[in-house]
Formats: sequence, C-alpha cells, structure tokens
Amino acid sequence: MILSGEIHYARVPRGLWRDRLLKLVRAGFNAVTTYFFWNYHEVSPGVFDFSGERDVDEFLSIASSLSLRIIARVGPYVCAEWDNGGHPDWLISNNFIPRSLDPSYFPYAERRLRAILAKISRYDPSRGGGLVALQLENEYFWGNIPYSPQAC
Amino acid sequence: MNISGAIYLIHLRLAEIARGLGITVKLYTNANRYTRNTLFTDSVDLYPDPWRLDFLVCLENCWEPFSRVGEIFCGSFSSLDFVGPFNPSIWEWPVVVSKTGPHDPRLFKLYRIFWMPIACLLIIA
Repeated sequence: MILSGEIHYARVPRGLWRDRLLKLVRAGFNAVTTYFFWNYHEVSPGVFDFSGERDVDEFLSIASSLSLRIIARVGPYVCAEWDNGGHPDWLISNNFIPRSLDPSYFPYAERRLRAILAKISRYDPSRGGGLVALQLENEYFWGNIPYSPQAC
Repeated sequence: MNISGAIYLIHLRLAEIARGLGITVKLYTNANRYTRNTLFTDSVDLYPDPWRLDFLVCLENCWEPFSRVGEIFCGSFSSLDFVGPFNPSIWEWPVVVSKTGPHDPRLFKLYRIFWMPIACLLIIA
C-alpha cells in the first residue's frame, strides 16, 4: 500500500525540507507527492533555475534518503492555486493558445517538460529510484482550454 | 478531429515525451474523462456541496471496481499584494494520499472548503 502525503517543495523553505519530510515519515506515510511548477524554474525563456530553493533534485534526494516513494505531478499546467497554474508570465505575454498542441504553446511546454523530467527520471524504478506515479496535466477542463466547450 | 481526440492527443504527446525520457511508472491525470480507458489513469475531481458520504456509495455503484485512494490536504495562498509565483506563508500544504490495490488505480476527489482549503480524495477498491 502506498500512503502518501503531499508536500510542495516550492511552498516550504529548503531548510525545512528534511524536517517536513521526516515528519511525513513519522506520521506513517511512505510516499510524498509534489507538484513541479513551470514558472518557478523557467524564469526566462529557456533559462531554468534548479538551484537553491528550486533544487528539486535535493528535495527528491532527501525524500529518497528517508525511504519515501515519490508521486510527481508535472503539469505542464498544474492549477494548484499557483499563479497561472504554473504558466510563466513571459509565455502568456506571447498571446499563446494554452494547453494545446499549437506551435504557440506546445514547443515551450515540451522544452520545460523535458527539463523537469530529466531530473525526475533519475528516480524512476528502472534506475533504482522510488518514483511510483507521474501525473501529466491537471484538471484539464479548468482554465482557458482550447478544445472543449463542454464541462467535464 | 473531434474534441475528445484533440484533448487526448495532447495527453498522448505528453506521455510520449515522458516515456521517451525513461519514465516507466504509471501515468495519470486529474479530471479528464477523455483519457479514461487509455494508458492514463484518470482521477475524478468533484466538489460536492454539502458533504455527502452517500456520494461514495454512488461512485461505488456507478464505477467498475477500482483501487482505493484517499487524499486530504490543506494549504495556503500568497498574500494579495505579493508579486511572484508564490510566497510561502505560515500555512503549508499537508496533503494526505493513501492508495491501495495492486492494480490500476482510479481516483476521485471530494473537496470541502473550510476556513482553509481541505480536500479529500478516495478511491474505492
């Protein structure tokens, strides 16, 4: 059985990551779930910041050292009560069609997805890691989606 | 292309990228009926008001057997005058997710809003 608590690294100061994850373990959980926010890392087009407070590898490494398994929610859109659901402001200013395969959007989403999954894939079980599930997109029928006039 | 096809193609392309980068674990999404019965597991994201436990019974009866998952979370929001993606405040985001069942899980969520957001997600085995 997987029993997971959700802690978003971007919402907890790095200095408290181990403490919070340890509390998760001691509360009886064996997995941690987290979102990965696009605009938290791609601070300008093509420039990714995974340092300091944004060091997702460190967060996942700490989780793994505590024997926590990992559930990753990578978006690209995550909602999550986070600005733009993670979409960077610089992308929105491009008059794009969000959450679509349109060339105004998807190449950017793919670039970012490749950047974050390069970090997360190190924790795939095929490489001995504790990743157990990966969520793509989130609540598709919320926000400015291009393809559906229907409610979910 | 119809709407459902276009929506699924986005998810399929995202899945292809993930698989191509060595992600072998289960892929899921949240609240997208067009991905059900595909390589994705879908989670149902519902906001019953008022809180009704008999809703769980309905889901048990309406859906084929699936795994059991539970999620409870609460959280915080940025202050209104903050400029940037998020400023962590005194409230963090403890979210509880429990999953059982060795087979493909399905998920659904039940939300209830208190003085701070609290959510509950359950999957019935």
